[in-house]
Amino acid sequence: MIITRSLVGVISLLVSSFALAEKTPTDWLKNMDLAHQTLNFTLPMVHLEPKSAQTYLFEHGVSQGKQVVYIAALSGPVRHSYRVDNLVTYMEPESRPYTISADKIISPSPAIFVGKTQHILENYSLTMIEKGRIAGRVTQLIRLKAKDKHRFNYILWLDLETSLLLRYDLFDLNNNLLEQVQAVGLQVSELPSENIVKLSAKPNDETQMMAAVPQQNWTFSWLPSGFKIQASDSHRVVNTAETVEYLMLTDGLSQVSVYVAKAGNIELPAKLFTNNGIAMANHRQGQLDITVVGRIPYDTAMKIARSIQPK
Amino acid sequence: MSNNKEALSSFIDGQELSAQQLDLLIAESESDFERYHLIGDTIRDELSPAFSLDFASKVSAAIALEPTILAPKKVEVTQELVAPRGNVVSLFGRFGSYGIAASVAAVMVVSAIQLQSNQSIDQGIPVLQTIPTGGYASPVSLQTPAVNNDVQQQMAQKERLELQRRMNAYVKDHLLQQRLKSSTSAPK
Repeated sequence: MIITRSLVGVISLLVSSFALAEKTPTDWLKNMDLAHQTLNFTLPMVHLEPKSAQTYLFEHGVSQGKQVVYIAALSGPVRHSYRVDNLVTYMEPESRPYTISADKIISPSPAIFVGKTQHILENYSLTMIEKGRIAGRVTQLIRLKAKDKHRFNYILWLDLETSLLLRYDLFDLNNNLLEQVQAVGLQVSELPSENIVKLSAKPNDETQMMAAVPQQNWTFSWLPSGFKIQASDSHRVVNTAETVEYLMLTDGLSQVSVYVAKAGNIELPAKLFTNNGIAMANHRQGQLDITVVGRIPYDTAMKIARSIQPK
Repeated sequence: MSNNKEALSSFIDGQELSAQQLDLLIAESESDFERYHLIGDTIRDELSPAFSLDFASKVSAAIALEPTILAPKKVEVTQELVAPRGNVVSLFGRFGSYGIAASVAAVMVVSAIQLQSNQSIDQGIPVLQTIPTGGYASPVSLQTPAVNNDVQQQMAQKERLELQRRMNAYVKDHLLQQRLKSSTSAPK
C-alpha cells in the first residue's frame, strides 16, 4: 500500500515536472497574455527608476463583456487612468480628463508585454532562468535578451499559478537597471471588483483626443530591425512651440520619437541622457535639426537620426 | 468683428482712428488689443529677451497652428471620422496637446544640464537630470542648477537656458506623444 502510494507520488511528480519542462518561454508568454486579459485581479505595485519610487494600484477585470484596466498612483496627487476596451482615459490634477482611443495605457504597468508576444519573439531570445519569489508567490524568471544592440533587455517574473506578470526589470546594454515594476501583492477573485464594474458601466463623456493627420514626407534609409513607423504628424513641440515634422517608431515595446525641425541658432548637444535611460541624439543635416528621443541605446538613436531622408 | 480686428490691427500699426471708432474697438476687443501689440512687437523684434522665454508657448496656444512644411513633398490624407460620446478636440487647438502637456510634465521633469559626476562611466557627457517622483516635482523652472563649472563657463547663461528649455521640451513632447500616438484609430 505504501509502495503503491509512493509510486503514484513519483509518477505524478514525474508527470508534473515533465509538464513544467514542456512549458516553453513562448507558452509562458501566451499564458500571461490570456491571464492578463481574462482574470479579475488587484495588484498593488512599486515602480522604481533611478532616484525615484512610486506606488500604484493596478486592477484588471472583465465586466459586462468589457475589459477594464485601472491604474492609480497611491501616493502624491491623485492621478489615475483607466481603459475600457479601446478607450483610455487619463485623469490628472494638471489637466482636465481626456480620452484617447488606444489599446493600452501609457504608464508603468505589468501589462506592457500583453499582446506583444510576436514582437518579443522577433526581437528577443528568451531563456527560462531560475524561480524566484515576488509578492509572496513563486515565480518563473524569463530573460528577454535582445537579438541585437538596438534595444534594451528585460527580465520577467511570471506567477507560477496564474501566469500573471508580477515583476519586470529593464536593463541597458551595460546591465544598469533602468526601470523596475514589482507587485507587492496579488489578489485574484472570481468576480470583478466594485471599481471595475463601475468603470465598465460608466459612459465615456470625457474630452476625446482626435487622431493626428499624418505627414508622409520622410523615410529612413535604415531602421533597427523590428522597428517601423507607428505614427506621424506635424505639430508644435510643447513649451517651445517649435514647429516639427514628427515620426514615432516602435518595435512593439519601445517608442522612439523622431523630430525634424528647421536648424536653430544654437545646436543641441549631440549626446544626452535622462537618468532613467532616455537617450537623445541630435544631428544637424544641412538646414535641418534631427532629434531622436527614446529609451533605446544612444548609438541606435544617432544612427536613426542620420538615416532620415525626404521621401 | 473681423472689420473691427482689421481696424484694431491698423490702429496699433499707427493708423489714426476717430475717437468713436476707438471706443468701439476697446470695448469689443480688449484681448485682441493685447495680442496684436504682442504680434506687432514680435514682428518689429522689440520683445525683451526675458519676455520671449515664455512668449512662444503662449502665442502657440492662442493662434491656430499652421505647420511649416520642411520636406519637399506634401501628401493629402483623408481622415476617418469617429463619433465619440464626448467632445472631440484637435491636437493642434488650444485645448489639444498644449492643454494636457502639463500632465506629462509632472510624469518626468527634466531640470538641468548637468555633468554626470565622477562615479559614472559616461564621464563628460551632459545629462538631463530628471527630478525624482515619489512626491511630484514642481514644474520646470528656469532657476540655475548646480552645474559643473567647466561647462558653465563655456556657455553663456542665456544660451544655456535656451538649450535646457529645448531639451526639456523634446523629452516632454516625447512622453506626451507616446500617449497621443498610442491611438488605435490613427492611420498606419
